Amino acid sequence: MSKRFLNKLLFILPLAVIFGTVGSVPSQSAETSTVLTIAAQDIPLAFDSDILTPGGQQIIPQLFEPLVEFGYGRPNSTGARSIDVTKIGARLATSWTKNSTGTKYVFNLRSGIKSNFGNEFSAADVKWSWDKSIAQGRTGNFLRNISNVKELKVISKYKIEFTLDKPNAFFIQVLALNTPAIYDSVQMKKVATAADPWGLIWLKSNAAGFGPYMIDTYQAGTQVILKTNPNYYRAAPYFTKVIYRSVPEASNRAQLLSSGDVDWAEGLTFDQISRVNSNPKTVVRSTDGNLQVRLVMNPKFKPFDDVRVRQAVNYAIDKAVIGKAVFKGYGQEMVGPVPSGFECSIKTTSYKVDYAKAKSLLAAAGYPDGVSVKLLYSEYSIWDPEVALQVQQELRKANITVELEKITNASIISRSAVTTRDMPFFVLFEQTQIPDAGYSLGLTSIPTGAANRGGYNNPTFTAGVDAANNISDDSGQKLSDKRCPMLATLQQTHVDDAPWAYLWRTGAHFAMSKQIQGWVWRSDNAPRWADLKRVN
Amino acid sequence: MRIIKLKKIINPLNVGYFIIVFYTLLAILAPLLHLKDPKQIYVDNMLSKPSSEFLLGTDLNGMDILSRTIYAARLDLSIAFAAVFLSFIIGIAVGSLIGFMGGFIDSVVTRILDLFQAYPVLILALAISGIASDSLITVVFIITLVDAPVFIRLVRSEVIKLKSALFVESAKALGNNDFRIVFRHILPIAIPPVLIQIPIRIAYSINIVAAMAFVGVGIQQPTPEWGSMIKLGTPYISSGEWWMAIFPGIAIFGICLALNMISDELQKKSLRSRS
Amino acid sequence: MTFLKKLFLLFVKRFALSAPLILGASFLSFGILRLGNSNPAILVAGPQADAATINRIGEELGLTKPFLEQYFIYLQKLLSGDWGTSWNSGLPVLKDMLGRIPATLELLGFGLVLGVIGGVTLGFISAKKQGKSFDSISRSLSLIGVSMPIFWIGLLLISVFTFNFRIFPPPLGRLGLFDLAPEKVTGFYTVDSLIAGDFGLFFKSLRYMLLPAITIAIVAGSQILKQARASTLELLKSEGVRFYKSHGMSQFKINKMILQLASPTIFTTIAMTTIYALAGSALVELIFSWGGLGQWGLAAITSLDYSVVQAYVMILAIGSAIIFLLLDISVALVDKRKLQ
Repeated sequence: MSKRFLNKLLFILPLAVIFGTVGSVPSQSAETSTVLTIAAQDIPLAFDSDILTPGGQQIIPQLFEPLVEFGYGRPNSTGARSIDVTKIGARLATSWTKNSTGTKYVFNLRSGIKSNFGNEFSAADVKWSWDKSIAQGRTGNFLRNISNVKELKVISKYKIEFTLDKPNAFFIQVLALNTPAIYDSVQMKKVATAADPWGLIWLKSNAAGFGPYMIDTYQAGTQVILKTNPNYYRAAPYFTKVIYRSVPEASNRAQLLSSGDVDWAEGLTFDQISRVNSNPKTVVRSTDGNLQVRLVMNPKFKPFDDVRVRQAVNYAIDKAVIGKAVFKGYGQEMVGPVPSGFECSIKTTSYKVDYAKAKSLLAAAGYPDGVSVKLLYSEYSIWDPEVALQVQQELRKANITVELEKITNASIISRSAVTTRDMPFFVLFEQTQIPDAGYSLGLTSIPTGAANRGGYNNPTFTAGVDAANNISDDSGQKLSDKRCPMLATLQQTHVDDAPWAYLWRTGAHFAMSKQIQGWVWRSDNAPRWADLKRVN
Repeated sequence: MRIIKLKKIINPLNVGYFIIVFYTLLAILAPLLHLKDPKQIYVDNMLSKPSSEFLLGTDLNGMDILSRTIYAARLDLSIAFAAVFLSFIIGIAVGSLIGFMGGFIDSVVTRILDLFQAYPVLILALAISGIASDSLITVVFIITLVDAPVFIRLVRSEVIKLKSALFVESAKALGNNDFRIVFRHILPIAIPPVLIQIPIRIAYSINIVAAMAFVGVGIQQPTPEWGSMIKLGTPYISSGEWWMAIFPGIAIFGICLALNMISDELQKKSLRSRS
Repeated sequence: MTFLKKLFLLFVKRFALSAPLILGASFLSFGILRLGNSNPAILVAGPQADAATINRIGEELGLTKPFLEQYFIYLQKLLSGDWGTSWNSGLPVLKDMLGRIPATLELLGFGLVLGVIGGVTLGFISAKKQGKSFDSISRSLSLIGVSMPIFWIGLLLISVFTFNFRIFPPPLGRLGLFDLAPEKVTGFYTVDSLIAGDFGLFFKSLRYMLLPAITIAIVAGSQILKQARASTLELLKSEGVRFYKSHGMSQFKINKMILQLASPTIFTTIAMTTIYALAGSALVELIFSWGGLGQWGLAAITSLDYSVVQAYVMILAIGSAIIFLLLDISVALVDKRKLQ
């Protein structure tokens, strides 16, 4: 080869590479219409409904089937439907009976159903699953306690009996949640070992259930691909395959949705939501939801041990400003600890912004020149840093000097767990899965509440909540007549005692391609992909 | 014998000096400049474009970028200056000591210094910062940790070069004790070449502070800092609000450019004086 | 002595010199855990671990034992391949890390190659054309490249070329979201796709790599340009070169000689620049979601996943040692050719 030729090659080769690189047309992603693609925030680390890892809340409900379900309401203006908790429908349980005192429930179970491993569903599966949750002592166990379940007994292959130690107002509704999930106990017993009797290690990358989907491939930290469970007993879902892919940055997720590369984008900020709505190909479907943004004040720490200080914090924040600045007008002010629309929820007389009143309350509490506090926040919810900043600015106006401290997402969850609770003042969301005031207060504001992150402990209040929850009655009308007055008082007490600063109810906003229809809002804020279909 | 006179190598007309003076004045005089409060939230003007009211626009929290950029200069410059100054002092103290003494301590310390040179120390700074507190002093300390080895090494090599010079021998012969020799005879000649390194080290330090804030360790919100401002602005590059991330970067670019220009000039002049 | 023998001695020498570096890094990565006020066991086990797990890990780390003994336990674990588990992802650290190395190597390699070619060429030509406009322009470019923070350069390039001109794909990683990676042979997407014969994928992976690589190239190349120019200038003025020039040696031969003479210094600069680029590329990986070591390490630092941080500190030390080894070999190779 002559030198000239080599020289020419040396010039042409890089040019060819550059041209090929820059000039190549970006290929369309091979998107079949029955494949649902989701730009997700996190990929779960396990498929155990009792050990929730980020992303788990989204995937686990697809794999497992509950005993009962909530009914669906009618679509609203954004094309979204909400659950209707007054209607309970049959799923794995076909019917049930209750004794006169409301302490024994017998469920008739559906026969002929198989799991994704081919094993038939029976009462043994229900018993195994509840035993597992009880043994783990976490979310499932909390739900079992708050619904007063004492024991389960297998009566026959398709009959199971729940015994409650006291009647309970929302036991049936608890059964509609995805914890305790119902596992295929035959398969689970196969993968259990002496050291791991509940098969938790196997559950880290596998699942055996009766739900519409099963795991196709799982790459920790990157993606989960689900495919339809061929043994599912109901109509096969429209989407035969779901690609749940982790995309860490919100702006990237928004980008992918707007370019049409994905059908669904999780976790967008509110200005991104506005943009998605203005894009003709995409839409944000919204309902009121159950997500609330609040500040938690732990009365164990000064200065929050004085109710006047806590009230002062509430008076010193202009919620409308936060709504506008952080949530861009989406959502609404909190009416109290329990969102409106929940069973027995009331609009409490909460705190209209009044900086002067805040200052005088502080003075009465012994802080005439104001007070210095530290506010902890994380990026657990996308808007937390912005909320923290706005709160700092607002409280300044009442001489409350706020020092902001950012901690990791994992930290804020673990430090606010019932076993620790060592943060005096922090920003964290609140979300109750059963739309019932009594359940909500029991979850968030009594000492045994799994989500009582601020350690609120008011014995009279606790007694009141227990009294309102431990009653049941056959006809719904009488039940709410009994409970709602009690719960109304309790909600007002909560607000007067102000363990929280009641900031904003964000609403549930889900961003998706306009082709995706059928979404139903559920109280765990996870879509059920089996509900969805693509309409061109 | 190579004696470098400082006066010969500073060219007062270099643009770099003007830029540095400009930045320093802005930083010092910031409170007097009728700027908006850098931490003030303008709820009605979030994410707004550069306009007559907000010359460089506002960020996602509604804060004015112009005032934050200028106030960030105060923070970044003072951290960099403080850290480099501390490193310089440590460099002289430790470098002259081990350079003059030599022996076992010298080889041990040199070994340790070699480690620092052969490693991407930015990562070390980030890792340490993740665990340590967010306070200003910690940040200064971490950067000093990164800069000091460079100065120690420089001073040491200069001192070693001069250790065996004739005038030192004669000073010894005259009965001067070691300490005096180092201080009065060696250091005045050893220091100027080290001074020449200062501008570039300041530029490097500013980069590290900004990188730390950009990654998320170090200086936190709402304190204005160039790196954390760029971090906040990163998601908005794709949606068109470019001003959040670009302007603070220009600020860093400006001062580093000036420092590099001065450094080039100093190197050139010092080479010339040597030959 | 023979060249191979010389090379072998070089390996030994470099190994001897690197051992303290790697040992020192291991001590550093060991010590990092124990710097702050946090319980080292929580940094390793994660804040969501229950008390029993934290105690168990505390015992594994030997927290109750004397400091040096803890260090030896740590060294033992490293040597036996137990680099810990990331509490964030649940994956064993060593395996995860090895899987990510090709991504970083590919990007770093490509960026450095661009930077070296650009820097050396421009620096050399600038020196030969000293004083002319080409020289001033390239010197200014070099000055600018050195003064911009590397993460800002990346953002600037993205803003202009990805979102303004729409030439390059959005910074989502090494390939599009639903593209399948080529069959793994080396782990380098470019190489593997060529091996698999998939030219479309080859160009696609180049497309995704070009912008982050250029970011690295700008910063690395600016430093290399400076040194190349300085070395070339010095040599042009030197007695030897002037002698050969006056005796009529061809321009080409003179250029070749200059490059050879300058290579030790230039190679050293390239090595130092590469070390610096190890840190800089981590920031680039972060911005472009590259999925390599840098993004992994930085994410671990911010989420306090310290098993990963320790591994990251260690692997960088090993990488640095390898870079210096390569430097020695390159210098030796050039020497060999010179002697011939």
